[in-house]
Amino acid sequence: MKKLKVLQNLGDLNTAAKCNWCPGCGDHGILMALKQAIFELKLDPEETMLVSGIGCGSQAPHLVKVYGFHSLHGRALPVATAMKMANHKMNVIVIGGDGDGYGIGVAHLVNAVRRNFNVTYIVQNNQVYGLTKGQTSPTSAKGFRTKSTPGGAIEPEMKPLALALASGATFLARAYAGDIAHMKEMIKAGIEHRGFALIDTLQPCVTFNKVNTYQWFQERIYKLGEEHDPSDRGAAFALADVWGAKIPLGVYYREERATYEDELSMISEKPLVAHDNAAVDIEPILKSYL
Amino acid sequence: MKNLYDHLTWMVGGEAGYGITTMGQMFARACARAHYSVFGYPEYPSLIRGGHNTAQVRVGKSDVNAHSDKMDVLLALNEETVDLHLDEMAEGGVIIYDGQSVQLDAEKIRAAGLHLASVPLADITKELGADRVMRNTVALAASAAIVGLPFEFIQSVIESNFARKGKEVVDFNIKVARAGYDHATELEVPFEKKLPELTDGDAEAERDESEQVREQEIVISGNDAIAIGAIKAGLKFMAAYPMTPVTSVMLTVAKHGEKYGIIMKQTEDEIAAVNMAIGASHMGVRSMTASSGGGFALMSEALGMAAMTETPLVIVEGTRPGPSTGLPTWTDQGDLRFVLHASQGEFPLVTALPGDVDECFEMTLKVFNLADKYQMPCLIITDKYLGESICSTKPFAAPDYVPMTSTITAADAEKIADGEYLRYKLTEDGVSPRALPGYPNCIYTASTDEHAEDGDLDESSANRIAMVDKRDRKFETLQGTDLLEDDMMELHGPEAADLTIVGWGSTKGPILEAIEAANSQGMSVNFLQIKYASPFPSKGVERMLNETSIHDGKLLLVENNSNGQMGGMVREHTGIKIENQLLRYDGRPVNPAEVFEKIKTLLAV
Repeated sequence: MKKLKVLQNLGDLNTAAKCNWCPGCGDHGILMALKQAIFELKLDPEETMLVSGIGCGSQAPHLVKVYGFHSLHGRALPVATAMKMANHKMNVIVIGGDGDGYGIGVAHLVNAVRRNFNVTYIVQNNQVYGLTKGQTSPTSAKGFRTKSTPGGAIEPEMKPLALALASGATFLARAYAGDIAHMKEMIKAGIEHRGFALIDTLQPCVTFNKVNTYQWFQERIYKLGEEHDPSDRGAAFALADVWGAKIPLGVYYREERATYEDELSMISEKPLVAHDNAAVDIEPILKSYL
Repeated sequence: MKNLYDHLTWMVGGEAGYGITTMGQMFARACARAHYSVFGYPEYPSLIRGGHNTAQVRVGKSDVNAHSDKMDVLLALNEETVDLHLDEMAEGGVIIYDGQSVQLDAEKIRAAGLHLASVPLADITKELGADRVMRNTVALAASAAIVGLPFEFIQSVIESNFARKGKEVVDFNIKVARAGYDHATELEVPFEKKLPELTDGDAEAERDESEQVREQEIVISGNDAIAIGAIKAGLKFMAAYPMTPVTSVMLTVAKHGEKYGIIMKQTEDEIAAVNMAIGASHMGVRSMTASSGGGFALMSEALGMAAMTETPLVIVEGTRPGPSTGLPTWTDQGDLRFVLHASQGEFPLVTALPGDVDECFEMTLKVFNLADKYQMPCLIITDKYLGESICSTKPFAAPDYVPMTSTITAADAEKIADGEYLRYKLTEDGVSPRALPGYPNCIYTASTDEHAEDGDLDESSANRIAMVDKRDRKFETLQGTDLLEDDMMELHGPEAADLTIVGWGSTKGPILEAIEAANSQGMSVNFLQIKYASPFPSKGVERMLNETSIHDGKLLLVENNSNGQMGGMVREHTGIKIENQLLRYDGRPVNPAEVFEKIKTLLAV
């Protein structure tokens, strides 16, 4: 087995890739919080896999020096969760936008949380489609005006944390890109959680979302204190439904439950990838066809 | 001289949901245990209960490769079976039924030259205090008696089928079967086309090869042959969503998953299935998925992802008649072009077209190696007829199978200096040494965006050209080394002939039977079976078709679709237009008799 590599400097996680995000984009804060979390948790970058879908923020795997997979729009979760099944020794972290995770890929979100893979999912939620230059998203508020909704979005925004909770999530948190220190703690808690962790990270889009700005968030966010018990599912539901005048940040819900990998007898001794694939004896199977 | 109707054709029909398919499987296995060759073909509507189901089994001493359009034995569990299939009975055939519940016009049937054997299935079942469903056991045994299959083989199949339920259940089923067998024997039905006598090996010298007693063979479907091929190839991960007619691939893999250390994940949809297969494969385990056309349509985008990220992937596409939901439980070859052109952009794709259960097994082994070594998606196209029909064959063996790969080892990776590894290195053969996530010193990101050698995004003109060429180069390398012309096509029958039939996939069996009969009756016909659609064996096909044309021979295209898609491909790749066509697109498989008739017409015999 490979010796664990421990990074000496946060900068060791930097790559040579040129970041293509707008100055002021909330993604910069999320990326910094993620790198700090990986560094502080002493994750071996060679044993860490960062998977994204498609969207502005999905360039992230190219910007962090860990193994990466930049997949298809909406499909990061099935790719990543199968990676976890194939090699459950890897730390698997998924990152992608609100359109990616709550729109086109929402069926995978529902099922990934239900299965409770030991995977961390960071959603860069900016309530707008940025890469295609400003259309409404599943988390856009009713009335949100974009070029695709000139009369304003007709449907109300979805409540992703409530959806995930109803689907059987075991870890739910919300963080804000303007508070990197807090976001880092949320990501660390998510990675340390044994099970599927969804961290909804609020991220102002300075170019295409003129409504949900840094100022808009500063006026609404507050951190959950000791009055909230993350093991209280009912309270978590109530919290997951809160959006508008006040937006709570912190751990909404936490539950200990066996992971999907725990239940797979095939990998109870060693990862699937460590199994030999040569000289498979099929004779016992064929006997049943005689 | 070979006749199309030399073999015995047995068929059971009844209401869906009453174990018709199982009866067909049991009869086929019993005959195979008696060392006959068998081919079984089930037909069922897209309903769970209430429709009409049949299971046909053909039995012979020499190889049986297809179903038949004529039946010798019809085991009718209801009147509808007789109404629907009376016209398909061969002269001298027998209808076995329960006269107390099935009313037939006996005069008319006897006048048509058929025999009737009324067996009181319900009464026998009731008298022995057996459950109503055991009527099937009585009927199965009665039919065995009438065709002359010794009881011991029915008994042995019952023992295997019910072993899990304990000795008491086994013994009771045997008792019930014995009653049906004895009753039918006493009827002394003057049915003449009994199973050919099985002789032991003593007088072998005097018999030709086809007369020799066969070794006992396995009876297996194309779907199961693929599943077992995949297991043999070292499959470790499968993700799939159920869809007729390929569901049994995932079920068979799942059944053996625990013992062989294979994870079979049923997913929320086919999109998740293929993306999971790619994710697992990217980590270094052999992975696959399977679906029919509708599910494969949902997989199209990810097919391109496997190509772009150069991730090995095996997909089984079991065709059924479309468009859309189409005829869900029937057969068709209409997805050839769709599979070849699925997903946006241009990329190399291997597409294998197995024609029988042995090829299902062998080609599955092959494409796992091609996918792994050349880091590309590989497709296997089957259909309902190949996937769900059962056939006797020698137990599969691949003692020399060695998994091929272009993945380096973790020990190799240890020697690479940090920052030196290039996941998409431009190499002469197009194949870049692949390091797996988790290896030391090789960190990279795989991307669906166009990327440079190190995996980082690169939209420059020079890089784009280099990468497109690199991916194409893998395809060229593969064709010169691991996939040769002899793998991609096969000529059956004489080297030179008056008529050459071109076909692919599941029509192989019916075509083989037809040309065998034609050639033994003095005609000169051969069959060019195309076994890979991509890459396409252009030169070989051109050479062989010209060989026939040059001698004023004729060409005939046989396909289970309405457009003659393979005919179009032949023309595209060779310029040769196949002037004659036999295209069947009613959801039913092409049968040997219609191919034979077409041969006779074309050769003006």
